Amino acid sequence: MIRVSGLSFAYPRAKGEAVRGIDFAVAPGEVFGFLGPSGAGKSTTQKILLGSLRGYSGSATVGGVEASGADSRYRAGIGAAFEFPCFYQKLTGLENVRLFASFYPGPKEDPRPLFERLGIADAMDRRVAEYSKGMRMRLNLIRAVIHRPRVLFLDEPTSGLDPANARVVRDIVRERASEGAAVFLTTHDMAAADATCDRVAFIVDGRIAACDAPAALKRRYGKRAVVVDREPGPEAGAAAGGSAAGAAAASPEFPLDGLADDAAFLAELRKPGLLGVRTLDSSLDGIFLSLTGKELA
Amino acid sequence: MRSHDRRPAAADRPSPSGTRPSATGARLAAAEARLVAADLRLVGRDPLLCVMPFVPFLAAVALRLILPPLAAFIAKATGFEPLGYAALIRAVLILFPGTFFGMMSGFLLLDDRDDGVSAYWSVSPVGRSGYLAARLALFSAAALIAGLAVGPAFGLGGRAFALDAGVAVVGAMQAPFFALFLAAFASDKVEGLATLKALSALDLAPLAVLLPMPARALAWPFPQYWAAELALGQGTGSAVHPLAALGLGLAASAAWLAFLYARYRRRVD
Repeated sequence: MIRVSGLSFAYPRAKGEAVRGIDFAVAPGEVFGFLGPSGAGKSTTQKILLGSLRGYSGSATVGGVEASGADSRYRAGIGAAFEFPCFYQKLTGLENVRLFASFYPGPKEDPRPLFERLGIADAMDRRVAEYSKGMRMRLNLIRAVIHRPRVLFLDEPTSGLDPANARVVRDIVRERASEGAAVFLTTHDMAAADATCDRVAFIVDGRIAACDAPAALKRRYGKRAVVVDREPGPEAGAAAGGSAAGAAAASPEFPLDGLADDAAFLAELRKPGLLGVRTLDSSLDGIFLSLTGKELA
Repeated sequence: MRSHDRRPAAADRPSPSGTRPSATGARLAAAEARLVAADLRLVGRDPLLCVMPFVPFLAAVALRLILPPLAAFIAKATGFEPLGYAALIRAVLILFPGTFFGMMSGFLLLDDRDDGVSAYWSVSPVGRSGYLAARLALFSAAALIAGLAVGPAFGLGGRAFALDAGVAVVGAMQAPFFALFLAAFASDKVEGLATLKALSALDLAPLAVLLPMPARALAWPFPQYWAAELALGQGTGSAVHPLAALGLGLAASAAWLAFLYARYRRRVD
């Protein structure tokens, strides 16, 4: 559905390119996370795919149509939710959603169930000027999905949301993907990316540094080893100077290769107070840090 | 490596939505109508914008009531006949709706730019151009209708409906002029008000017809000047044929609009 090949772009008067020859594809039904620090080229790529930026080289297509030729039909198949929700402040939430939806062809969903599901049904008939940031973010998602687009561009869709609402947003995104939409999700929220995306790409300085399923990346950037967690005994507490009281005590690392025949590992399992066995996969946060050299805010 | 800096032909191209081109024209026309309806609702919910359409009429009616006795008083006291300039005053009043509807439209554009709504339209099927066209067309049409009605509301200095209509057409072109000027140069509503104050000098441009050459030529770039030439009519105060004055007024408006539209696009892109 989305296909990007050798895509490069430089802003006028900029010293270097914002995007440098990137390649990726997003299939129908796939949630593709586009991760990276500020200024890495995420927004530029998204703007190109939305048809807002021209003058790029390489190819960026949505539904087989080159983004440089984006017209009303191209945009009709797209749903977009920007990081900073923008609405008519003097119109109500429902009026805003209905107004924007009315410009898309084909059947639309009834917005009311979405308002209810996202917990803003009570505010449906209030002017958007009275909405909090979290409410606007949820309204943003409703507007993006109401016309059942075949391609969804979501920028930080869970920003400013409490965990419960963030979960509902992720569920809706996953549902749309399961119905066949291709989802291009830009975020700094690695937990959201991990929970929502089928694949993620890390973009650093305009180049894709890594691209794969989150689980595969975590394995690749992690250690092929396990540790055994158990309730801390008196000796563990003494070794930690008492500071680890209440925390699990971890065993030494055991390599995955030959684990079934590792006598020390098997002995560790037999000790009392077993809590669990952990693989030493990396986290998306850790991968982000190692690829970009930048801490997440 | 291919470069994509030109829009390829849209015809016969598949689209993500799978819609047919034949449906697009009618759909976009309906979309423009919905945008107009939304703008009317936005105006209706803003107390300041709500009163603006009535200001030219209030001014016209007030002058209709005040000017004759005041002119008689001035003529008696000084020998100067203000009512001899009634046609010029009428032209200025007919231009007023363009200014006021342009201000309304400009403030809405400023709001949309500040709120990011104009950026959102650019990724919708309407597109930024469609959204802007609907807004400017609505307020220009309103300015034209109001301009035609203001002359009779003033009731003085009337010559021919065609002259009033010509001035109203030039006035209607001022709505997008003021709207784009505000949106292109003002950062917010406060700056917008300051910008309007500076632009209010243009209301005096028609008075340049009273100046001798070459001072009069300073007003030539401004459509309001040509509206005054048009209103006075050849042989009755203007050396320019009304059609020529209308053409020059529209040409000056078009040149300004092209410049301001380019500035606006640079600002919002």
